[in-house]
Amino acid sequence: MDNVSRYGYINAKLRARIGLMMSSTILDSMIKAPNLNEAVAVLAGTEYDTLAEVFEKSADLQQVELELFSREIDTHKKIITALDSMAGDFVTLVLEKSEIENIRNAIRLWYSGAVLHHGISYRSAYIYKKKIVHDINWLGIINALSYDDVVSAFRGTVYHDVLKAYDEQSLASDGLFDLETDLDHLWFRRMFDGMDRLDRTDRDVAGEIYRIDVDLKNIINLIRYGFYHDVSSSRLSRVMLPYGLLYSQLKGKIEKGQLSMDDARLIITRKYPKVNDLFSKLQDRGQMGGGRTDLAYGIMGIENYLAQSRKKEFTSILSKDPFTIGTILSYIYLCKSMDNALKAVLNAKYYNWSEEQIRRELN
Amino acid sequence: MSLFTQKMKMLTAVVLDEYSDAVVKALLEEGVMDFVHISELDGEQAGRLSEHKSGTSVSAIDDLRVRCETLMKTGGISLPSISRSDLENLGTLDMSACRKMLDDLSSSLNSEREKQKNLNQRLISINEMLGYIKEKKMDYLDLRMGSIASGRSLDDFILRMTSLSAVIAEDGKGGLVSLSFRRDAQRVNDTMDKFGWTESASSDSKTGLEKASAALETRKADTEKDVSAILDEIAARIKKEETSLKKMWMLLRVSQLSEHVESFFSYTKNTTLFSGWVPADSAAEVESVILEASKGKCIVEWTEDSQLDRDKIPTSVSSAKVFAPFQKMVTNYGTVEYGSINPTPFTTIAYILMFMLMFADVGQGLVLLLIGIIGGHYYKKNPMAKDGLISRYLCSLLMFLGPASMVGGVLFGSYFGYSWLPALWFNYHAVVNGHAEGGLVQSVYDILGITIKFGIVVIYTGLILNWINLVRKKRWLELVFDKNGFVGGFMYAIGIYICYYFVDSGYRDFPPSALPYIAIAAALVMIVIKGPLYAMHKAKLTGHREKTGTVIVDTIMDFFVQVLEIFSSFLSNTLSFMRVAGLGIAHVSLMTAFEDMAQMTGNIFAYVLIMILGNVLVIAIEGLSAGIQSLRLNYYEFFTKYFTGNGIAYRPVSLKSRVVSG
Repeated sequence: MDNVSRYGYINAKLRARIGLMMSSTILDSMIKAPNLNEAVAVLAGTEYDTLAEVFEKSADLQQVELELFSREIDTHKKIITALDSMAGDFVTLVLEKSEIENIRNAIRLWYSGAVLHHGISYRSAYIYKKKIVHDINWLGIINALSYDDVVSAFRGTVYHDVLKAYDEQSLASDGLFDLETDLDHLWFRRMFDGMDRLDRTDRDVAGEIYRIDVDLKNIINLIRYGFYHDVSSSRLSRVMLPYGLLYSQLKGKIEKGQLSMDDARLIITRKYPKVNDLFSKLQDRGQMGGGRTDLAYGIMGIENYLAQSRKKEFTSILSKDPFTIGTILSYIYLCKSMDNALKAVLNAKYYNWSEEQIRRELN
Repeated sequence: MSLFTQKMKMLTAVVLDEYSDAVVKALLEEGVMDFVHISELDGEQAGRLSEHKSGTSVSAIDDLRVRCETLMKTGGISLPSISRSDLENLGTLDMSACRKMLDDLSSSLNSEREKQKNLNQRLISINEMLGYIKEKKMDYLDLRMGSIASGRSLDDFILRMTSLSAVIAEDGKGGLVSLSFRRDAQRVNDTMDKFGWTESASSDSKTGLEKASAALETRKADTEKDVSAILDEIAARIKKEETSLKKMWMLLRVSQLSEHVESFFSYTKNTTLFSGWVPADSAAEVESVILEASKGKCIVEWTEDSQLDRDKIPTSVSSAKVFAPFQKMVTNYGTVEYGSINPTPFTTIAYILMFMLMFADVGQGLVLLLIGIIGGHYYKKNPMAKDGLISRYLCSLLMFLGPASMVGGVLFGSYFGYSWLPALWFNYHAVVNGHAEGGLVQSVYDILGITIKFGIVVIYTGLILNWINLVRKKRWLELVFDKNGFVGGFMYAIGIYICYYFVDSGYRDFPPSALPYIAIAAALVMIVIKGPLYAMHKAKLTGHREKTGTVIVDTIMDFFVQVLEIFSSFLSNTLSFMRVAGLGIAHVSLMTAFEDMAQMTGNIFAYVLIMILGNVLVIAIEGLSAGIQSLRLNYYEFFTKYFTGNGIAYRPVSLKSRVVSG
């Protein structure tokens, strides 16, 4: 099957939706709304009508977020059914990212109840419990009395081995960070393996996107854990994703514990020159004895820049060859961005943020 | 229904500033004026005028109106219609008062929403527990029976346990039943220990579970009742402000519309100037309204359509309301050019005939008609209901398509796929299945021939309508030389003659006479001379002469493109009508296949079931296909001959205007 036949229909369909999404004034109207109730009411009669219905019935923002997540899963599944097995399998791998997000939420909930002994009562309702990609016993995780019960809820899935490598005691003492990192790594590994099964054009498009995606994640991890939290080199090596354009150049020095901020800056700015200024500011703050808050703001600046680069990357795909998997990945990204923006505005309204404050944070 | 677009006249009026508001309101009530900016009319004069400067932000008014509408919707209050007396008594808009009222009402609802959220969270836990009981997932639950230490307060115990999502019920034997999530065991145990809980020695877990379930159901019903009471309270609080909200909405709406209308106004020191298009038959009424509102202190001038460039005149077509579904098909395609033929009546006839030929069955047509009637009735009874798969539009369309299909069924003798009565024209089933007896239509080729002839009639109708349009627009060159003008029509006629001769000779001979070929050659010559003629005409109009070389190259290029277009488009447009036969044949074939399958079962119940299922499938799939193909034939084969869709829509501003752009 050639790419025009493979992507002709779905490309036309998604581009029409992207056009609508780009021209939508929903977010602006929501930001202008004086409170949460009226912000949600803006969604009535739009393509997000179901969210308004959920809020009308429950008045619960987290239920609305669950509905958004459910829509996200449906969007992926509808795209998958419109594709042949090669492209469909790859989008299924993309969907696994949402599944991992749900796993993370479910395990955190279990951890909160079983390990930290906090009551989870109604909070179990905010976990998506239908099948996403793999047969995971979601109720089994939420109601697990021990970590072994949690692991058995994943029996027969690709996640089982990752979870099996941990025990309740280590989680209780070290927290969930390593487990969550391993799940992320698993996803990237499966993603890059899946990319090899695509045809050449799609492999190039997807590779371009995800290699940059990995680089951006690695830069954030490096700054956050390497320089801000100052974790050990072995721990930092574990966090870094072994893919992308930067990893091979950073790997050696990280492992030896010899990576200074200047080294990192040199390597990173070779590929991403615009990060240079942001790095300088970050270094200035560090050297001038700026407090942790100052550094945190500096890191946020870099993260924002990287997020913008990512957005630009995904949007620029739309002006390239339309008959590739790029349009689909771009649409999924834009949907996710819109969902995140909706969530951010609703939460900001819940905490009574001003219109200016919301606009500042969103940009 | 008008055959052509409505005649329009342009009004230009000058009123004294003090009567400006009254005139705006009067024009809004009249609702027939499509305003234009004065600046678009006369640049020199416009330079001396000042533009409208609003004291209020239109977007701020719009934001408040949307907020007001949202609250009204939540309270189940419908939007009011604005009458003349409302306009007179509305008063002036106080934005800050409106905002304050909306803010107060909105924040009074917030506390109720918070309560609703808490109750909903309680319901979540109850439903989760009930779900586990129903699905027998008792591994997730802890059922315990016992009692608390004497002297400890049962009420306190229940309260504490409820906060842990547990339910406590009496076991009927003086003891207690506790049902909680096993995942909360540690905290439940701690609480129980504090209250000196002792397990009952002889416990009947089945009865205990029944008691706990009953208590849970009661708690669920109570919570749902509380939620419902809160929702009622929210609606009641809004309802209490119904009069104020309605008045505020009207004020905001009128202010927004007035601002919109005034944005077209221009001003001198003491006067207001405005202009706009009005249908000629409403001109006298509009003039009297302006005179009345301005107490005669105004000047009204009318400009006839003939004095202005017709490309800039908005188009209004009047069609009877009953033809609304077909009017929508036309509007979806484009806007009719001013002074052209109204395509709606022709679309109505063509669409119905096409559907009738493709989906001819009395029984299935009756089903479509019933769906249309029932659906229409449902939407009439539930005006707020959202459009479902069978939308309002589809229901109104089915009111035409059902009877069309029934008439087709009578002509072709088809009743739910059976030939219960003799066909008035020919038996479609018999012809398709190869056992036609007598008559002119014997085989599927005859049916294909009929649909091609039908296509020729449709295409020629389109060409004739185009010629009428071109005569009305006085575009004589196009009328004669265009591919959809006389030359195109002439070549199409010769082509039809040659093709029919060829078919009649058994696909062996072309006409022996030289006349048709001479006619084609003459037509080709006309296409060649079209280029120089157009160039001369353009030079006459603009005073700019093209270089001879450019004209020659353009003529040669245009000749090839035009000839290619005439041959390929007329041929493909005509053959495209074979789909009418194709769909009709597929319809019969499907019904025959279902009947054959039904007969093979040898069982009357299976037979009836298969035939019902077959009819349902054919109605759904074939009905949809026939509808889409009819639309396609109208859009691509019929409209392209006479309907450019390049007109400007007439959009008068009235109190009923739904959308007002800034």
